[in-house]
Amino acid sequence: MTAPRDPDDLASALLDGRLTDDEAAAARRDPAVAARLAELAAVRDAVGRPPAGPDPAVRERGLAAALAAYDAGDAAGEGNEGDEPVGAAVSPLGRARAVARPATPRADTPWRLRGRASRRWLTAAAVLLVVVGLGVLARNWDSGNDDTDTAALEVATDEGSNDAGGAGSAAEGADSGTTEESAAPSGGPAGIVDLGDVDSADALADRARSILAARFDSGLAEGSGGEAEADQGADGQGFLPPACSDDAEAEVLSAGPQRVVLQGRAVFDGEPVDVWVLAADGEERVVALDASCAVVVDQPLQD
Amino acid sequence: MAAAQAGDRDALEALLRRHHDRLWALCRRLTGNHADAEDALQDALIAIARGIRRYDGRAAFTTWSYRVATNACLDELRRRRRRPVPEVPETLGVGTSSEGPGRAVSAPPAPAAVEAVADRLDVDAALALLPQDFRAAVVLRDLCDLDYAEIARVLGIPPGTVRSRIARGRSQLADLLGNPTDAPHRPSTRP
Repeated sequence: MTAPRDPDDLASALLDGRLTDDEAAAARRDPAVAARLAELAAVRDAVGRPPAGPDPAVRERGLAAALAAYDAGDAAGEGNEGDEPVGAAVSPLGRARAVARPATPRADTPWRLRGRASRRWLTAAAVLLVVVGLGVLARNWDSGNDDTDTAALEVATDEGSNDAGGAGSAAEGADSGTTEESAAPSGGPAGIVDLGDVDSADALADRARSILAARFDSGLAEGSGGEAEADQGADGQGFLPPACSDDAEAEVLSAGPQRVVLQGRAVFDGEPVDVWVLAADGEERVVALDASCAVVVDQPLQD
Repeated sequence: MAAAQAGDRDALEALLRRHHDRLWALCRRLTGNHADAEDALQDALIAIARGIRRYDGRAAFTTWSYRVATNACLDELRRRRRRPVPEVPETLGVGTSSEGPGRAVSAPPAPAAVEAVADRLDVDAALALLPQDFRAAVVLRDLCDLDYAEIARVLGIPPGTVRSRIARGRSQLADLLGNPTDAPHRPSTRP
């Protein structure tokens, strides 16, 4: 094993007892290491001081929420979502997953209900819209109308003034991309496109720009189907996957009136992501959410 | 532990209460503020409560719970990253070092200067300036007192990477906090 050479590395390793006796003796003879050792020790002591504790009431609420989740697991007979490896797989740093995020209803977390009760209504409305949408699709199917994607859009448009309705419909589609892809016209704007593997936000934006440019050239962009797509809803939240509809970070998608001009999937830095190009106020931006609904890309589409 | 895994609610409550403070400390240091720490800790506690029956004991419960809490904190940081970052006190001397993080030390500081570092530093503000990778490693080592192997398990990285992240994190903290000549003297609050 190669001994560390950098004074900071040596000092830190010495501080933690990670050097052999010989290495430690040599490090102590080095004035630079010895000096840095004192500084790093001061840092260690400072970081090691326990911070002030939480408010006792907050502490009790947190414990109560955890116990409620535990009770809910009992009531559910263990299994289902409880089988997910909560916290078992550590996310790479800087790419945190929501493995520790409660999957229990927010009722389990009464102290976090601020502003979230309304979302539960949105979710309920979304479910209702999905049911209605399926009914319309079934009716069209029975009548021999194979324009199912148009039917779905009509439903979304009919409910366009209802944020929750738009959310449920489009989100459902986003979550079942295979189905939507098969229903959408080949290469049409309502389809979920594959943006391939990218390793940076700029690369993702480049891909999105290329696809939009190609669509524009072929007349598929905001001319025909694009208009219908724009009518799907003024609220970008309407296009969030259901799992992300209650995620604070994903709220970036619902910031003000906007429309989706492109929806797709990509592999971003090795991780699958859902991608949207959103237009608002004459500007477009590309947004990507990973599997935990974390926003991994949010930047203007323009160069 | 066994009782909690077997469905004993009281046992779980006792377990959570016993570990609450150390998990709070971790979350408080990783997130840098009370509000985010509260949210992250609640997520972690819920995850522990929900996952306790599936905890297989391969890692110590302490390590496992740190792992859950660390994930919760990092997730919280990502969700909250658009919130304004607290202003860094001028006493931190950020950006005033001509040598930058990771520099080699050319001369030993005066002992009083080292003492001043410990007395006047704003740990949260300094930690907030560290990359998350470094921050987590340093906090798990210096606050939670985990050894390198445990930190490697918590973070899912090789032990060698743990050592380098701790070293670089501490080094950057020392640089951020160690400009006593540029900062006004602040009386010690130590007894």
